Amino acid sequence: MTPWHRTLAIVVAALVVVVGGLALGNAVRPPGVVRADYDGSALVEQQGARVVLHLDRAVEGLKKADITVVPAASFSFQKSGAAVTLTFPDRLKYGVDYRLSLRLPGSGERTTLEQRIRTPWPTVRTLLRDAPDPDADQILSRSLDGGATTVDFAAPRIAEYAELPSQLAVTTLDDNGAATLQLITLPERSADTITTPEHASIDLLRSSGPSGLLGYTLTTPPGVEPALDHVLEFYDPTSAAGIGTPITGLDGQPLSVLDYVWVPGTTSLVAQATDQSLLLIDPTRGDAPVPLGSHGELRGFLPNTSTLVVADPDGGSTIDLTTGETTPLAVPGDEQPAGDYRGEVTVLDAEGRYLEVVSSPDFTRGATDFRVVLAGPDGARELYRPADDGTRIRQACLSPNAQYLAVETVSPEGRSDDYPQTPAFTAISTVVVDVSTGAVARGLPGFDPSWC
Amino acid sequence: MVLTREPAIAPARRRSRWRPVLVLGAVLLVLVGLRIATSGGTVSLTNAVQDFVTLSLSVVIESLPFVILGVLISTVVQLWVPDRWFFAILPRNGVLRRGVLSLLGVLLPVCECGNVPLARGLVVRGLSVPEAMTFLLAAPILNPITIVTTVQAFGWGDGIVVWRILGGFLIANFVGWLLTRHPHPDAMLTPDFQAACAAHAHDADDRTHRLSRGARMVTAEMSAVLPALFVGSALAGLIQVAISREVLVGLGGDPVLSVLALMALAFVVAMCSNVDAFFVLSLGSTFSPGAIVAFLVFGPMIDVKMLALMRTTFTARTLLIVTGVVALFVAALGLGLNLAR
Amino acid sequence: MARWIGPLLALVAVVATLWLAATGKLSLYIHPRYTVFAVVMAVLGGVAVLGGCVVMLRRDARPHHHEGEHTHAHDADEIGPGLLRRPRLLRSLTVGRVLIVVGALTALLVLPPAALTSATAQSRALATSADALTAGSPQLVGGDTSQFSVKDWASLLRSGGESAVAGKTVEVSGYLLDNGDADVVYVARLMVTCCAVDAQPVGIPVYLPDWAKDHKVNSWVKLTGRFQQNPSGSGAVPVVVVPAELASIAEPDQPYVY
Repeated sequence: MTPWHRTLAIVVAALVVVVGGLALGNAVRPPGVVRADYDGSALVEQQGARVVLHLDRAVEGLKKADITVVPAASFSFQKSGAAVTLTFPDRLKYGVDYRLSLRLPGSGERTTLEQRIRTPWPTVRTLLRDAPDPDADQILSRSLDGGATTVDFAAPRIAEYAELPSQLAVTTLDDNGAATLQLITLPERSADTITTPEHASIDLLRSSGPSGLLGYTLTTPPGVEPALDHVLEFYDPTSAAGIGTPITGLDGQPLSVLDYVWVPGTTSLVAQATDQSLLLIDPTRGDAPVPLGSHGELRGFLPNTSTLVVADPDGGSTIDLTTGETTPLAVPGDEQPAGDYRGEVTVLDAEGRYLEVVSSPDFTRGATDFRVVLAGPDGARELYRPADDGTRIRQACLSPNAQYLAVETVSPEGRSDDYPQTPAFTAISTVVVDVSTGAVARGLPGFDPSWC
Repeated sequence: MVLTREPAIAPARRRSRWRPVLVLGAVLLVLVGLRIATSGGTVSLTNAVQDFVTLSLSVVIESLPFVILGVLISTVVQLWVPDRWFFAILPRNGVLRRGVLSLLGVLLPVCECGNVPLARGLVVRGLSVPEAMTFLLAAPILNPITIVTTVQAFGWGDGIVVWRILGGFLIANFVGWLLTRHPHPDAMLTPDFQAACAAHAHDADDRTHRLSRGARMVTAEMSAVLPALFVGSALAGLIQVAISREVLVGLGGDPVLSVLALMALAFVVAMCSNVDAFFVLSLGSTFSPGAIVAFLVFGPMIDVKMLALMRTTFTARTLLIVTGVVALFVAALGLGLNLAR
Repeated sequence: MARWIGPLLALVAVVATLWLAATGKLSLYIHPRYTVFAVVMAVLGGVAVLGGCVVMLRRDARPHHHEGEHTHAHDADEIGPGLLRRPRLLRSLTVGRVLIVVGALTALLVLPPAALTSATAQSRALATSADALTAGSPQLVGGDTSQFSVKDWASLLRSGGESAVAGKTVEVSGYLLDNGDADVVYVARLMVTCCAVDAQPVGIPVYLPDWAKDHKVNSWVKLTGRFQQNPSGSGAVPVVVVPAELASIAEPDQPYVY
């Protein structure tokens, strides 16, 4: 053996030993998480968002009982090779550290993998009509956990706004009260006008949310042609058409509506025609509307579902839009004094938990006290009461993940602001209340929070 | 050599001056004519054969510009760079000398297939085999374009860039050192190439007609390198069609198998080091960092096409040793990174 | 033969490259960013090789004894001294060289240029890494998405997540790729990072219940639709394109994305 062959043999043998040792070391090491793929904002904003945990090797025999999510959230899981996918049917809570742990069925002792996921805080917008600059109304946005407030848009008079994925739809009023519908592209704040008939007022401006469509109704004053009475139109901001498309009813004619609501996460809406009949319509498709029967009032969707809550004089019911099935909704009593007024009701789940705005008139003072009551099968309790007596509650809206309730409060000195469309009050502000504890998470200036 | 029998009279000589140009013009016309004549046709091959042709051609067409550049630079270095410039900057100490040579890619950012002609030129100039091998292994990784694209793909954060650079440098110099232990370094060269070196030494003093010598060197170099490039490309195309890539990619994040799988993939895909970082990124989400580093270090050094090209210069035994040692070293690097994670 | 194989192969490859570039088909094989480099090097290489050939032909034409001192040098270039003594090996080498030249001529100059068939594409895993696709990923906010390709959407979907694409309208073409879901098919294209060898499918999920009944895998389609939540609720793919229209088309001249 020449020195060269000896050197070569030593080098190769040494490398083989090192490679073998390292391979063995890697093989006996417990599996680990290589990476977690998830979209934080989808987790809190969309149903069915996923977290994909990429492990460094395939694991056998993982059962659902081996996976825990803290704080608790319902999930389903799928495994393909070394990837474990958790799907959350419900939107997760904002600003929470979720701890996902997987107990691995290993040989001998069981090892636990852990992955932490921090969900983001949402940005909440409000409309401020008594801005520091008396000549301008403002749309403000700020993160719910605090931080700087941004003015997204300002105009002399703003009636309504709606949030689209990267745009704001805003109706502004001129001195004569005539309405203009504009699309503001953020963050550049460039504006495009959506053409609407002259003199028509624009109401019920609502966005379909992540699916990016805009709906609104048009009404012309008596004697003005064309005669429109809450005719429902939709606009697709990605089309750049500059003009909305009327939504047609069963007869193929433009539909006049009492109310309508977008089905969350879709391009479909449920419209309540003037005869109170409900129609399920996807305006982006030519399909015929699906009749859902007649009901007195639309009360929105059960959080995280496609189940619509409707109210009739004789009680409420739910319509599951995936099956079309209508189920009576048994709502437990609110245990409030008989003389109090029952206001807006927001149903939280199919078990009948709900939030209710209740007001008790105090005739001795000549004032009315408002409060929010949380009622359910296990009794009712007061969730939130404004600090000052005589503070009124204009409306209350649930965050999409049902974690918070945004409550518009009007101080006793608040007066109507006399806007010709969407009138509100002076001295109005918004408080964000944690639905589970009733604690006030944050106060926001202005009203009409983006969750409404 | 029929022409040599012709009497060397003046008119015939003038004719013979222009005859080569006419011959070449005719050849070119035939080639262009062939392409144009067949361009309208449609040939229906089976998918596998069609893809084999397409894949092989894509390797040829992608590598050819780099090979031409390498041949041209190699010729320039051999003919126009004076010895005293070239060898003056190189330290005499073997380890330092190889260290400097492994950084030569910084000045000559040529893809690895262009490095082979360049390395051949350097050996002709008097570089030893271990030194040439160090340059060949290191230059594709330690060059600015490769580093920039790797940083673009991975960023500095997870250490992949650092380990690629460091691993490339260490392995190239280790292999260089190992080859210096060989008792007869020149025996690692193919007999043909040894003869070419000897021929160069013979007329090294001839400083006349550099342009015509350069032109001859270009054609000679093409004759040495291009057949190997075509064979290597055909092999790469064949393996791609024959082996489903999913077999390799499907191994995913396993800390041991993923390293071996990506090294095998690097060997098969035979792509330029300039862009391989983007490729491995697009492959899949789940590969362990050790496997990615192994791919990024092994691929530029050893692959089907490179072996075919290097076979023009080095003996099969030498290439076997180099391949084995590099593969083991890279595997150790990848596995070590996975274990340290 | 041995001395001429290099120039011949070089000329074949140079002519093929320049012709592909002239007809715009070079991008069937390599990423367009290399086009200029490939053309420049092909021209330079062609000139150098032609020059070398002229020199070689002239030297051959001269009386042998005039430049006798150089002949053994180019003999060595040609075949090497070892081989002169081994005629069988020499013969098999010559056969090999002829095969290489014929193969190169056929592949480069006779067969019509072609893109990868999607049969090969089907056997390659779908690119799923967010990072891979984010290199040069598009800026969506306020950006014009009407020209977005399959790759742009896929990269946005992976990098920005589901919330970045929700509600956007899509107009793309690609081939149908089966990712093992009965109700969701992918409209995909091959993404080329360097050359066709590394082609890797990228695609966007399309909601098409029982798609296999009406559509064939690998067939090319033009898709218009809108990203929204996966109506199938299987959860494997949270956001899908719900097609407004899905029309069959012929395979485009330029089937890759870069």
